[in-house]
Amino acid sequence: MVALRDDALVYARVERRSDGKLQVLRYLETALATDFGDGPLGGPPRDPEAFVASVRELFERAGGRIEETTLVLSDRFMRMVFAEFTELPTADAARQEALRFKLRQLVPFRAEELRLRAVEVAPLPGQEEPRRMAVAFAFEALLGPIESAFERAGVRIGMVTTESLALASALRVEGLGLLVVADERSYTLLVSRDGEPLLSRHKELAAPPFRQAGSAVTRELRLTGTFLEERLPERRLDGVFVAAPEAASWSELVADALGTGCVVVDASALGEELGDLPPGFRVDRDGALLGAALLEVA
Amino acid sequence: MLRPELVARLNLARHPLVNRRPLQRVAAALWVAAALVLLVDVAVLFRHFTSSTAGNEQLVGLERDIAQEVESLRSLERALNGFALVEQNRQVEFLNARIAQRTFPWSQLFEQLGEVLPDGVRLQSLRPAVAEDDEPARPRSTRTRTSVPEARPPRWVQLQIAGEAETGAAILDLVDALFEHAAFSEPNLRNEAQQRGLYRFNLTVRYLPDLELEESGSSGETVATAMQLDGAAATGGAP
Repeated sequence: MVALRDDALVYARVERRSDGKLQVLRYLETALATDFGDGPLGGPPRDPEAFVASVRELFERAGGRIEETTLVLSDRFMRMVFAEFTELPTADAARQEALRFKLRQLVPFRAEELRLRAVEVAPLPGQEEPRRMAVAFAFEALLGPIESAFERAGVRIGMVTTESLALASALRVEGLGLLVVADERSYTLLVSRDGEPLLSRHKELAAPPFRQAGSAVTRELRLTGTFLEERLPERRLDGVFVAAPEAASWSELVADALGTGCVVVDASALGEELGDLPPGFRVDRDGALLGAALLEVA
Repeated sequence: MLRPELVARLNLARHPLVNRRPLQRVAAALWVAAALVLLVDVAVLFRHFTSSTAGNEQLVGLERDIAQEVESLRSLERALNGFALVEQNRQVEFLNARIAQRTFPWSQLFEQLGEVLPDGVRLQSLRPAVAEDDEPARPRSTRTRTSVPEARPPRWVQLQIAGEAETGAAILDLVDALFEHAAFSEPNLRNEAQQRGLYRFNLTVRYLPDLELEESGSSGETVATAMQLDGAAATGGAP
C-alpha cells in the first residue's frame, strides 16, 4: 500500500498473520520533491520526473518484487458525493454519462475531466428520487500521471481510494458512524450508515479550527448533525472517530459541535487486531494503509 | 464502519485490482477436486480393467468350454455316424425277424397235428422250414446269407413229416385230414413204402401257424431246425 500525502510517499506492507492479526511488515516514507498543484482536486505533478524518482526510490527501498499496489490518496484529491436517480442505465458507458450529467449539477468541476466510480447505497428517507448513488471521483489529470509514474517504476496501481474511505473500512462501529479525518490543510467528514457511506464533506482549512471560536468547522459539524437529525431522526451516532494531527483538540471540537463523545483513532478502534507496529507507524495517521489492506482482499 | 467490499467498488484505478485470492482458492479447490476425481477415475478404471480382464478370462474359458463341447458333439456325431445305424437297424430288424422265425409254436402244432392224426398213424419226425410270403419254404441250410436280407414275418411253414401207419388207408385219412384242417394246406405225400407190415411215408404240408410274435414271444419255443420224434413218437389222437 502506498499513501500519497502532500509532502511524502508512504509505503506499508501489510499481511495477515496466521493468528489473524494484521501485521505491518514494512513501513517506509519518501519525501516528495514535487507537488500536485494548488487546485481543489489537485493536478498532475509539477515535476513528473521528480515524482517518478520518488516512486522508484520508494520501491527500491521497499525491496522485493512489487508488481501491484493500492494508492491511498488524500481526501483533497479524491472526493465522494451522493446523487439521486430515478433510473440508471445498466450499460457502463451510458451509466457513466448519466453519472457525469448528475455530477455537473453537484460539483464545481468539469465532469468530463473526472474519473469516477459509483456504488448504489440505501436511499435516505424523504429523498426526491428512489435511488441513491455514492459517486467517487478524481481528476484524470491527476490519476493518469500518477499511474504512469508508478508503471515506470514497474508497479501497477490496482486500487485508488482515499484516506477517509480506507480508514473507515478498518474502523469498528455498527449503525451510524462519523469519521473526521484532518490534516493541516483540510478535513473530511464521513458518515456511514450500516456499513454504507451516507455523507462525505471535504473542506479546506484556513487555519487550525480549534483556534477559532465559532469556526467554519464547527458550523460544518453542526450542519452535519442537523442533517442527520432531520433525515434520520430515529438514529443516533453510534461512534465518532477522529484521525488528526492534533487529535485531542479535534475531539473537543467535535464533541462540542455534536454533543457526543468521540474516539481518537488508535489500534483499539480498529476492527482488526494488530501485530507489533514498526517504528514510525501511527494508527491515527497511517490507519488508512491498514484499511487499504482490507480493501485489497475485499 | 464501512464495508470494505463496498468501498472497493469505489476504486478509481484505471486497471482495477483483481482480487485473485478467491479465484486462487477456488482454483486450488478445483485442482484438489480434480485430483480427487482423477484418483477416483483411475481407481474406477483400474477396477474396470481388472474386472474386465477377469470377465474376459471367464469368457475365454467359456468359449473354450463351448469349443470343447462342440468338438465332443462332433466326435459323438462322427462316432454315431460310424455306427452305421441304418445298416445296424436293418440288421436288428432282420435278427428280430429271425428270432421270430425261430419262435415256433410247437405246442399249437402238436395240438393241431393231434386233431388231424388218425388212429394207426404215428409220426417219426417233424421238420418245419419257415418260408416267407409266397416263397416256398427253403431248407434250413439255405438260410445263411452274406448280406442282410429284408426280413419279414413268416406266413407259413413247410412241414416235412415222416411217419408210419398200420394201413395205407390210415395214411390217406391223414392226408384228407390235413386237407380239411384250416391250419394245413397242400399236403403232398411224397412216398410210402411197406416194411415189416407197416407203411412208412414221407409227406410235406404247409402249416399256417398264424405266428404272432407278441403272442408267441413268451410262450413260443425256439425253433428247432428239425425235430426227431423217434424217441418221443407222436401217435394219432395222443401226441
